[in-house]
Amino acid sequence: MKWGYKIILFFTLIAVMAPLLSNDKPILLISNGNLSFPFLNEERIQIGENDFYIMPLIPYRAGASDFNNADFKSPFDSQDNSMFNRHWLGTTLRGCDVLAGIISGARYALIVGFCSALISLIIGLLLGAGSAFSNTGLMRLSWLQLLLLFPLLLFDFNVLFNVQASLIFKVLLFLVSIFLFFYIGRLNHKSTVGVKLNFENFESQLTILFSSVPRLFFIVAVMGIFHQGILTLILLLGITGWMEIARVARAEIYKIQSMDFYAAAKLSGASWMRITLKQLLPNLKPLLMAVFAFSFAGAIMSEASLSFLGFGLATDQVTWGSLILEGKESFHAWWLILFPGICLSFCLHALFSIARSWNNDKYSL
Amino acid sequence: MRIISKIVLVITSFIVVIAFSFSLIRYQSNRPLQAVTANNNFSQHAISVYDPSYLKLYHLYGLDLPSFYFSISNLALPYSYKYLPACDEKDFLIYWSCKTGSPETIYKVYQSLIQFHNEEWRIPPSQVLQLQRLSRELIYARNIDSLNNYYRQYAENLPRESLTFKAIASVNTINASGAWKQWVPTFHLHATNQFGLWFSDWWNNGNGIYARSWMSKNTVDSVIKKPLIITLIITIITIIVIVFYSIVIAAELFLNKEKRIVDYTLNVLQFLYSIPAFFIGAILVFIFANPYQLQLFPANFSFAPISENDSITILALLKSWKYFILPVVTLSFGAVVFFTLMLHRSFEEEYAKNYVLSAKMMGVNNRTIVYKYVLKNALYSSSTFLFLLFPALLSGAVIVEQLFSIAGIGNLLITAARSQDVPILIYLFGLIGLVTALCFVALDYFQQKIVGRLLSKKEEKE
Repeated sequence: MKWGYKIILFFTLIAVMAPLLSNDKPILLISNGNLSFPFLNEERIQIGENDFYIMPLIPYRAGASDFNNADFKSPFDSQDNSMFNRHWLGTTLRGCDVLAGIISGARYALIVGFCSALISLIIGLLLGAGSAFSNTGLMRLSWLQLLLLFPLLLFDFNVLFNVQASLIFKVLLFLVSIFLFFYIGRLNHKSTVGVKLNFENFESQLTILFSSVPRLFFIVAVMGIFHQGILTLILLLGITGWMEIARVARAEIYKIQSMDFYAAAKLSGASWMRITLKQLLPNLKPLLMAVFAFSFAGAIMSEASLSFLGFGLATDQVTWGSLILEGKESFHAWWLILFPGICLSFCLHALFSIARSWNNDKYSL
Repeated sequence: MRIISKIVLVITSFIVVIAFSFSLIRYQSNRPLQAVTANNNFSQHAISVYDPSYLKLYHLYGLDLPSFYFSISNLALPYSYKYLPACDEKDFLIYWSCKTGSPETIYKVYQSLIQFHNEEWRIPPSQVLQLQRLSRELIYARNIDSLNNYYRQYAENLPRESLTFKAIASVNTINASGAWKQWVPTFHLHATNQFGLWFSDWWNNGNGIYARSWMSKNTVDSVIKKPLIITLIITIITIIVIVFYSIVIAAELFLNKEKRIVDYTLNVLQFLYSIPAFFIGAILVFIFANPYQLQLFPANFSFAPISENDSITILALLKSWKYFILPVVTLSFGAVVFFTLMLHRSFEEEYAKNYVLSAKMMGVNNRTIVYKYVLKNALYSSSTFLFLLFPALLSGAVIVEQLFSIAGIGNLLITAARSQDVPILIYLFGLIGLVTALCFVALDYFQQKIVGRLLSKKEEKE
């Protein structure tokens, strides 16, 4: 396994085990003969004198103040606690542990990065592949579909934005209407009347429109208006990151479509589904992995930048960017800038090297 | 013809961006005028939503208007419900109108509730608060029976002669027979809307509510002018730095005979690329601007001579040269690394071509070949990067301006976003979108006319 994967695996393990690694509640508690795992619950607990308990490696929660060690204690300063409870990477102004903050930051960075990259991948692949397929002239709308297109769009819009129902129900209804649309197309596929659907031009214009809005600019403006939270951030990063994926997917599908094995598969009468699954996707995989890793890294970088600007997650959620923001305010607290920055840089470098390894191109970026 | 169609597309996308921003503002969760009223000089605290002056302001700022010329709504919901000032009231009315399909009844009852809230002499204030809380909880109760019961209990405790009692008594029960109406989409046209208002304000040279900043009350042009100039100066200096340094580094790296050093440098450059700009900036500030350390360059741009006056003179610009160094280095760092690696790669591609071989055979110096012939062709192939550098730097300027407290476009964006200064936000959004779209058009033109012509000439020769 290459070292890029190892670093990402390391950060993922930290992110998964974050509550076990840094927490102000014990992992295991035996009081009066009862065994319990307090770190799993949100409730506060009281530890008696005769209780047996095992604390996590870092006995501090991210963002929780330790007023005995407040006002920027450096990692080398003498600290007002025992050897085992030491703040190994220093503290912030309010005495929050930096190491605990870095662990929680790894969690948020990976969640936000992965989810938003996944959203970008889905949108980009759908649009890119759709426009590449529509250009071949295979996508044909029958007259029944044409008749149904506008009312269905209107209905879906109304359901999504005006009807008072749960979101899952709305999405299900949307998927059903899409299925209905294509099922009607299958019903009268033999009808010669119809229109060739080609939205390649539309897709390329949409790509230009979305790329013409600078990402950070857009997200800062929207986050100022909306409620700041992890879901909003993931959605915004996902919506603003699909353009490169669509462009790459479209170009690559064109390339594959012009190859001999694709023509052979089509001539041998393979179904549309089989061609997609057996010929197209395996050949798209390396490039898609590369682009996915790039957008993963881009999302992590954007999240950190937004947190640094104060427009990222909510204020009680500690991320790498928010730690660096706190370090920026004071000139001597180098540990607040250095450690989160190193974590961020290594994480990004690992993702870039993974992307390069899939792209088979040594010095491309 | 192609250029004209491109420009038409740019204008269309510009309109789409502006209209989209108005629609986004429509969906904001907090109260739009809260920040504006809180920052006004005449009131120290935000006005209540039920205050008549709030309603007046709401109307003045055009917030009770739809965002664009058309909208899609449903039969159960009058579109005016969406543009009510009070969030609770809006949610309540939309929810119950969709559930029951009888918007008039719901509105009547709610109006009587508000009336009740104002008739403080009839019930003690503590009870008013309790009723308000109950009503808010009932919004999501999803049970029409409970609403009916609630109103009935409510009416029983009221004096017979009160308006509220009369209003509630006239509505016996709310039935859910009209719930199907919410599934029927309807199409509305709006002659007066926010986009139209914005456009007419903009057209009439800044004499309307959307042509002035909601915070400082100055015209948007005057607010944006100086930040724009400062950001432009920084961006242009940065572009020059990026192009110069990446060309020199890439060419010297390419001319270096020691393969080990070249490989090592490329690997280091790849690592440097993954370091975010704000981290670099923070480290630079820590090393070079730290009063405990070197203190070579100032980090706070607001003390620069250029930031002191409203107008920017060349003398002030020259005097504040020290203040530009750290921001420009921070802003150019990532781009220099990226462009160097990109140029190095295209050098390798170009160097394998025949014209280089023929130049070598003629005995031309290797350095001359790289700087005179290979560089030109390599720059053509990386024209995409050069044209899109400007918009990318504008985005990066947000971070750098925040880091060095430069009063530029990025800082303006952040203050406008924090205080919800809609005209400034819209103007900035449109401006940046327009600039970027124009860069795309210029890139397209460049690739069509110049690179395309060069390629066709080469083909003819071959």
